[in-house]
Amino acid sequence: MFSKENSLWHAMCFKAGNVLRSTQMQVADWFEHFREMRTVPTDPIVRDVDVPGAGRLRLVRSVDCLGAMCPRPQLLTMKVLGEVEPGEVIEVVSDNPAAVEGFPALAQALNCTYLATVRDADHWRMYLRKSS
Amino acid sequence: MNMATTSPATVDTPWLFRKNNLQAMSVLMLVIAGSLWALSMDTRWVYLLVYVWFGLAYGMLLQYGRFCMASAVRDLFAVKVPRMAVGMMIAVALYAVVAAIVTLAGFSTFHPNAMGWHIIIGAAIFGFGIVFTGGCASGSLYKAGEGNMNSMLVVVAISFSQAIVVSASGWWDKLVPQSWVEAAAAQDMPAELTVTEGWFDIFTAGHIWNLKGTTTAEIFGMAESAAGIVWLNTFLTAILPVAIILVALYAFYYRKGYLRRSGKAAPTLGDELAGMWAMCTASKNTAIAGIGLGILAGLHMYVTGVLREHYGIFNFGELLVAMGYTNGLSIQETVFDPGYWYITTQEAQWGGWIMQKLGIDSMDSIFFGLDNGLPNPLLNAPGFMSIGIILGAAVMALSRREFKWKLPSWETAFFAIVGGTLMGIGARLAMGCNIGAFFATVTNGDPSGWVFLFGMTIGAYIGVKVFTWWMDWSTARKAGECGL
Repeated sequence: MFSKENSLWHAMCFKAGNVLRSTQMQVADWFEHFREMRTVPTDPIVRDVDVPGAGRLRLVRSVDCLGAMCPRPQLLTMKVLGEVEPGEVIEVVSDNPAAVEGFPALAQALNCTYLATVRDADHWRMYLRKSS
Repeated sequence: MNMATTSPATVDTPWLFRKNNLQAMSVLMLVIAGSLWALSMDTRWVYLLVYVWFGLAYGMLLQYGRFCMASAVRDLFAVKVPRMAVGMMIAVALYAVVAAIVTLAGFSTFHPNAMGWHIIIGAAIFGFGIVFTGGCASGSLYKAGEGNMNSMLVVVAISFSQAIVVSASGWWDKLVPQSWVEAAAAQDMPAELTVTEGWFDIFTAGHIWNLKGTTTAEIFGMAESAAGIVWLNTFLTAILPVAIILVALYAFYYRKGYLRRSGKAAPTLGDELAGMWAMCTASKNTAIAGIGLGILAGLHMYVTGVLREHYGIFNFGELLVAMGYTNGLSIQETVFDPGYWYITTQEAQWGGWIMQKLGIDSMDSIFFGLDNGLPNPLLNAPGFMSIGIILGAAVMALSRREFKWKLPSWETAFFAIVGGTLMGIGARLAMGCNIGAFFATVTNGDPSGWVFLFGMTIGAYIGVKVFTWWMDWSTARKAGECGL
């Protein structure tokens, strides 16, 4: 009697787990299918850029936040800064004016040096160096 | 801000004839032409135009300062940056000072909010929502003016969710306790309002009306005296909390980094004060916008107060009746007309008006039927303030070459609708958004605004946790798929 109840309980949990997982997958697939935004925009790169006021910089990462709403640019930047070595420079590309305004303050809070913001036609590029 | 602007194409053209400036000018001309047209029909439209032009000025300043009140609470947890919290506190202090002068002059249009648990709960839902929408109610309006269609979607979601919340009945009514239904029935209300049907009506008549909303000066019986207004309403309720919050922000978020950068191991009081000054002026645009918004918000109350005195009215509804417009007024012949900066209620009216045109009438609700009416959006004075914010932000964004049409991705659109809906629900429960229930209240001596801020902070904290979890999860999933 006891073991019968137990197996029923197991079956229910197993079923519930399956339903939960498949729903999760479905939701994720739905987003994946329609996604225009890159969630992993941060593959390592090595590129030299001339930044007015900061000279020639060697980039190790470029964080693409075009079209992203706050707080995504901030959180992505935090994540990428956690992955690079001290002294390395990253670039953040954003077209969100409110996010751009906050980046110098963000740099201070994240213990890195804010180097410059360069304005392009319809977005900004910001350069940050991770402090040691 | 250290902006290296390099755009040789625009150097040759005279300033006024650059494409973006021409566009900015044409938006401005449109507003001027519309204003003159309205005035030529009836000079009494000046009452509505005051809202338009103050809205325009708010929009311009919000865009100039890239003022994001959502980030004021969100960024404290998300990235530990106090920039906007500081900007908001500066605006509160300035608004409080101007509001004191306006109140002393006898032109205040302010009504305190009822104090109760509903504020914390509503504010927390609102605060949770703003993390996902990327802007508060005003923030979404001005970002829509920057060409951000995602924010426009947020505005639409806020409008309809509010209209549905305040007029829904049926199973919704099970959400409120029976004691509220009895209390609502005991209110002497006209039968056409059906106050015992519709959960929001029961909540309003059976709960909110039995709560007290007062200013600090009223609590101490000094509402009429200048000392009460200055010391209790302005100093004790606004300036002192602002000072405490600024010191706390400095101590927890700014001090360590500042002292490290300036190389001071044993800071004196002077160093600490210099540090606080550096925190407040870290973003010049934001500080300037904070000062400007604070002063303008106070002036707005003054101008509306003067106009009400001039026309001998208490509410715009009376003026509408005098001009021959009686459609969409509440049964008291009033419309929503706060006389100061307010955002969410007029958006609820837009939603409610459209629903009415689609055949869903909500005039039997207290919110629309008794209090705010459902005027045609073309006659909705505070509604024009919201449109003014969009247009003002567009003018400023165009002239600074920051205007850009941005279409939402499916993910951000989903967040905008869900977050906007939550913001609408929260704003209605808490009787306002971060402007109407916080910014306008604490500056006029109503301490309930601090309760709202507290609730919004809790909501934003939870929101940031959930958002971070979502980002980590979706990134990890994507990385897993790529075989990394």
